[in-house]
This record gives sequence, C-alpha cells and structure tokens, in this order.
Amino acid sequence: MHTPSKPYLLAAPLAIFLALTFGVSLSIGVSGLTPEHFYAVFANRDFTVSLVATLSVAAIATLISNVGGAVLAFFMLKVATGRAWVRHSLQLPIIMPHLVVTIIVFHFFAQTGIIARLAWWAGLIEHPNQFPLLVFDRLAIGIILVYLYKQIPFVAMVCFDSLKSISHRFGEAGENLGATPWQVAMWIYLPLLRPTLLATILITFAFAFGAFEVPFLLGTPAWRTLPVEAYVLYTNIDPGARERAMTINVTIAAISLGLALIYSKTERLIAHYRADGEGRI
Amino acid sequence: MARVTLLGVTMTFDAKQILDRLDLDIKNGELVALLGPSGSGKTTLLKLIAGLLSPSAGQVLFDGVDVTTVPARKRQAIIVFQDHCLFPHMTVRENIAFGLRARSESRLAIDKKVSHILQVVQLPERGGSYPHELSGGEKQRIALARACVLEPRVLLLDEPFSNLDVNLRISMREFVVALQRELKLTCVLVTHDKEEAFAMAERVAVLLDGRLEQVDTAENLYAKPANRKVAAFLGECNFLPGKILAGRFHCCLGAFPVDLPDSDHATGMLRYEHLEVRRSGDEVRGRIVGRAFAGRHTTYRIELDSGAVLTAAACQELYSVGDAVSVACAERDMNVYIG
Repeated sequence: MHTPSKPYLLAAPLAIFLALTFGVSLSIGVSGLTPEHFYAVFANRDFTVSLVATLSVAAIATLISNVGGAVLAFFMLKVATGRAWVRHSLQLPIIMPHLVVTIIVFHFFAQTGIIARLAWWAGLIEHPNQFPLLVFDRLAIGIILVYLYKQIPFVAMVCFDSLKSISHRFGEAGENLGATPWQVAMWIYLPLLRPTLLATILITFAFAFGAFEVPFLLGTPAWRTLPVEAYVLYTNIDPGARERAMTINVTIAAISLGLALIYSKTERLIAHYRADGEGRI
Repeated sequence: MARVTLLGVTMTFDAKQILDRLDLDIKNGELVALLGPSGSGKTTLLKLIAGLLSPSAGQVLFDGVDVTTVPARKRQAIIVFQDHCLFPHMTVRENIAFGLRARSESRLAIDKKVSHILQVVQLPERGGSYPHELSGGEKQRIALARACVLEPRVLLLDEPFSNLDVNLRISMREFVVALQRELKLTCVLVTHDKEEAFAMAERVAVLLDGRLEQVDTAENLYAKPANRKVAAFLGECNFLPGKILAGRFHCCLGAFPVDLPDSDHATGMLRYEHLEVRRSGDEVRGRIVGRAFAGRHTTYRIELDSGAVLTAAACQELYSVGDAVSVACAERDMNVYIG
C-alpha cells in the first residue's frame, strides 16, 4: 500500500547511515570527511590488502556461484523439471540465515570439525593439524563455502525460472537445424539468459562484497575484509580510527551504489526483453 | 531431397494413442499436405519425421534407409515452425547462418549462402534486422530461408501461415509453392485449413484422430471421400440413410446406381452445393423451412414431403421460407457408404 510516508521510511536507513558517518564525526570534533582522509586511507597498505582481499573473495564466490548455479539450472531444466524435491532442496539453503550456515561450515570444515573427525576415524589423519585448513584460512575457503552454499541455489532458482520462461521450442529449433546440445545451450539459451545472469552476478557480488558476519567469524587473522576492517576501526578506542572507518564505509557504500545503479539498468534491459514478445526473458 | 516413407508409425503418450499405424509414402520433390483438425496428431507426425520425437512403433525411412533412430540434428528434415521460432537475440543473417555454423562451414561459405538465400526470399536488405523488427510475412520468409539454406532432405511446414492475415497468407502460399518447385524440395505441409491444403499440395493426407483416413489429390478427396468422417471433415454435406438393393441405393431422393453389395444400412453423402433446388419439376418435392445468407451462396433447409430435412447451397435463385420447391441431384454426386 502506498502512503505519503513510505518514501521517507524507505530512505531512513540511508539517512541514518549518513548521519552516523558524517554527523557523529562532527560531534567528536572532526571537521568532516575530506579528500585527504581518502588519500590517507587509500595510501594505507592494510586498506589496500583489505580491498584486494574483499574484491577477490567476492569475485571468486560470484564466479563459482553463477557458473555453478547456471549449470544447475540447465540440469534442472533438462532432467528435473517438475520434480518438487529438487526445488525444495534448493529453497532450504536460500532461507537459511548466513549465521547458521557459517556455524555449519565451521562444524564441518574446521580442523576439529566433523569431516576431520571422520578422516581421523577412517585412519586418514592422526592429528587435527594434518587436516587442511579450510576455515580461518588465508585463502578464505570457509568464507567462500558459506557464500556458495547460499548463492548457488539462489542463482539456480532464478536462472531456472528464466529458462522456463524461454520457449523450449528454441531448443527444438536449434536441434532441428543441426546443433548439438552444447551448441543449443551456448548459442541459444545462454545468450537469452544473459540479462538474468547479469542481475544475479551483481546481486551475489554486492552481497559478498558487503557481508560482515561471515568474514568476521570465519576470516583469517592475516587480513580483514573491508566491512570487518571498518568495524574493527569503528570500535577502536582511538577517535582518529573512526575517520578511517567512516572513509571505508563511504567507499563500500559508493561501490555498492555503483552496483545498484548497474542493476537498475539491467532491470530495464530485462523489462525491454520481456516486452518484445519473442520469448526473451 | 528424399523420398519419405512411414511404415506402421504409432505414437503413444501416457497410454493415449496419438498416432495409429500410419503408412505414407511421399515422393521425391513432392508437396504433401497433412490435413486434420486440432489434436489429430499432425504436429506429432511432423516431429516424428524430423526426429524430435521417436515413434512408439514403426519406421521412418528416407530414400529407403531407416532413420528412425537417427537424431534430429543429423536427419536434415527441417521444420518451419508455426510461430517461426526465430532466435530473438540474433540478427536475420545470424538466424539463417545458425545451421551452417552448427555444420562448421567456413565463414566465407556461410556469408555466400546467406546472401543468396536472402535474395531468394526477396529480403536482401533485412540481414541486419532483429526478429522483433520484422513483419509477420518477413518473419515467415526468414524462417523459410533458415530452413532452405541447409538444403534439407525434407522441408516440414507446421501450420506456417496460421498467424498471417488473409491477404498475406495467400501471397505466402504462392511464394512457398514457387520456392518448393524452384528448389525441388520434398515438402510436408501441416495444416487444418482445407483451402490451404487443396491450393498448395499435390496430394492431401487426411489425418483424423491419429489415423490416416485417405491420401489423394484434392479433387478426388472432395469428390470421392473414402468414408463419412472424411466427407464430413472436408465440407458441409447431407447424410441420407437408405438401403442398397440389386446395385441401387434407395433413399429419400430416389434410387442411385452403386457398385456395392446389398445392405439394409447404407448412407448416401451429398454435398450441399450438389443438391439442386428448383421452383417446380417432377423431382422430389418439399418446402423451404430455413434460410441463411452466406455471401457467395445461400443455404436452405428443405423439408421433403417424406419428412426428411436436407440442406442445399444455391447461389442463383432466391427462395423464401415457405416456398414450395423440388430437389434433385446428379448420380455422379451421390457417394454411398455401407453402415
């Protein structure tokens, strides 16, 4: 229902964020964020490491989850269409909170976790240290596993719905014209799926880039992702650290806003495809 | 081009029989129409020939070679779909080149063939357009071009004109027939439109409830339908109950010579337009009980003195309800079936 106050309510979180970022900083005697604050933060090696690490984790998780999700969607279309159990089994990870998945990953993949214990029980390892480091590790495997567990089903469900809306007759026509199943997938379905995949790539990347609790709980002490770095700086007793935290927050917000704008453009593209009545998604 | 032979082709979906032991032989370079109402199994049969479906029983032969298990992509029996099925993300040239690319032909050869076929379908300037920028007739031509550029062994047309308006439909029919003759294509046209089948095909195969009831020229089908179902499907007609005695069929319109054995249960079939209506005469008498103007002709419901009610289509003299008339028909126009 539309009410006059709705836009203000929707904009309230952004207003609070800006007030906390700039207003609070003023209240503690700082003159506000200036380009110098950004230069100082960007010149800091810890920030650069955090930025590269955050972008890398987000990019790897996005790449794997979108490729995996799209492949799973094709599999569902070809093999499992109409089988409710497949859909239900994908819905479960989507509705499960990230925090719960984080704990599951920790219990399964830690060096003292269930898999390590099974490996010990099977005689494959004799000591927890012999089990590969999959959580709190420098390669962020544990963090990426949490993202994949949530994001592969999400991408698969969205792509599956899109694939279903694309006329199956395109596939028949392609096969009839002499294309192999691989050519049909690559030349027909994948291009038609492109707008949807662009949207899922942006959504999954934005989430992985801005997520706090997963890297906070499963991250390595060697480096921090940007949201964790911002949190640590913000809770630091040194008031000067807050400027850096706010600068990082603004950087994260700017990148997220950029992604939101690209997503908005993509949505328009999808709407255009839908409107042309030719079976496009 | 190939000669297409169907031997005992049967198709069953979920215990429901869609096609029942079909036998059909289509000559090399011939255009045959598969004519039937919606749900009669026409498109299923087309997909069986194309290899998009496998028959539950029976064989599909191209030039005498069994291709029943050959996958669709290797069969070279190309369908022009009812809704064209042009790939929306590809230009016209890319759509036409699709099958050639799948065959891994060289870019040069593809360009040459695509340009040539665009000339053939008279749309050389549309190569860079996307499907949503084309009119219905243009889409139809591009779909045909995409199929013909592959030089298919069999061209399969699945109700290709049903989405076009009447004038465009007629011109596209002529275009397709000319193209089929120019390229000497073996062609199967699926349609529920009798006029379209009669106008285009050298032979028409009538498919009713999954059974191939009759395969013949349009003229023979219309004049001498094999049974009552075919007769009723192909045009409006009167069915006259009667008997066959000593080589003559006796009904409310008199006695007609037939080459059938004696039977107490026989039915005569007479097309509306073959029932002659006159103001007076020595023929069977009756009166007009209903009239409907239908443009080129007027249909009359006529109640005979014997109580039988027949329908006639006349285009010359006008009668009014209640008029006394007499009716008659030529012996050659009466088709008689046992039962």
